[in-house]
Amino acid sequence: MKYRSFVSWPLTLSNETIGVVNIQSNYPHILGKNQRQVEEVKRYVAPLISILTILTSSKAIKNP
Amino acid sequence: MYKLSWIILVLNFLIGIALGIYPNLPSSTSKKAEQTTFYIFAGLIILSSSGQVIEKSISLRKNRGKLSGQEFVQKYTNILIEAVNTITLLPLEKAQIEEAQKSLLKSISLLVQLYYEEKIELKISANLMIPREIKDYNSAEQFREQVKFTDPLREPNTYQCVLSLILWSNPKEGEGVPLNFTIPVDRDYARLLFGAPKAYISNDITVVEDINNDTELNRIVAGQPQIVASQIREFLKK
Repeated sequence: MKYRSFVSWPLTLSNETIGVVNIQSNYPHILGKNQRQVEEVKRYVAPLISILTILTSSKAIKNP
Repeated sequence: MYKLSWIILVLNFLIGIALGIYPNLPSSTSKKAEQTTFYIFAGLIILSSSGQVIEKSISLRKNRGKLSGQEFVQKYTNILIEAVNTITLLPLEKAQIEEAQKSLLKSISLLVQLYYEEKIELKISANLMIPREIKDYNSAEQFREQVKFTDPLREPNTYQCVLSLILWSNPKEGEGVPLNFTIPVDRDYARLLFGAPKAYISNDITVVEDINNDTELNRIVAGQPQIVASQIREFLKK
């Protein structure tokens, strides 16, 4: 996919960044054109990022 | 079909709750075996159904046109419940974790897509990068060969670490930027690559609004040596 805009979102657990999620779009302004849209999308995505952070931590793996 | 999706979700949620309580019960060896089987079985159900349910939501969206706010929230709730269910299953085997991560990346992509549902041709994808240490590379040659956008005049240990792409929401997206695509994280903030490295160091969200915009492109390559700036421009125009 040829993308035009993207957002990089850090995965932070106990003040330590353990990874980054990149979300990309084939349209410009991935999080929206105005501040209201940007804040709204961030609010929706944030819980999923938190869950992904937990899954990415070493504690999530059984018998690492 | 939509009702069926809800039934699957409710079942998943109940399984999730059960698993949250079950591990705390005193258990004999046989019970442990039963517990492990239950873990794997429930995990597989949840992971396999979550992607399908969200995809079904997307196809419904396309057929119905613009969603009302209520419909969006309903679908968002589905996505969230599925994600929370996965956590109740932890800890999981490495392969199961990878499946769950993929499922979440897919959910994140679909969530952003749902939010901007008026643009039918909108394509959203997501990937996950994790840090790796410089000492993991056997030599400077290996480092320069495997890590993109590095200055050939610098020693690998002048970088703080690297970020490697380990998962895509959709395997097809890896055709553009492959798995194990790796970029350096600079110790010097002024020379830090924009995007993932900056987000990693600043612990803040970084956004590139439009790579077709020359002003934005100049901002992305600012602070980079000429050779690296050229590589980045070429990469983003592909």
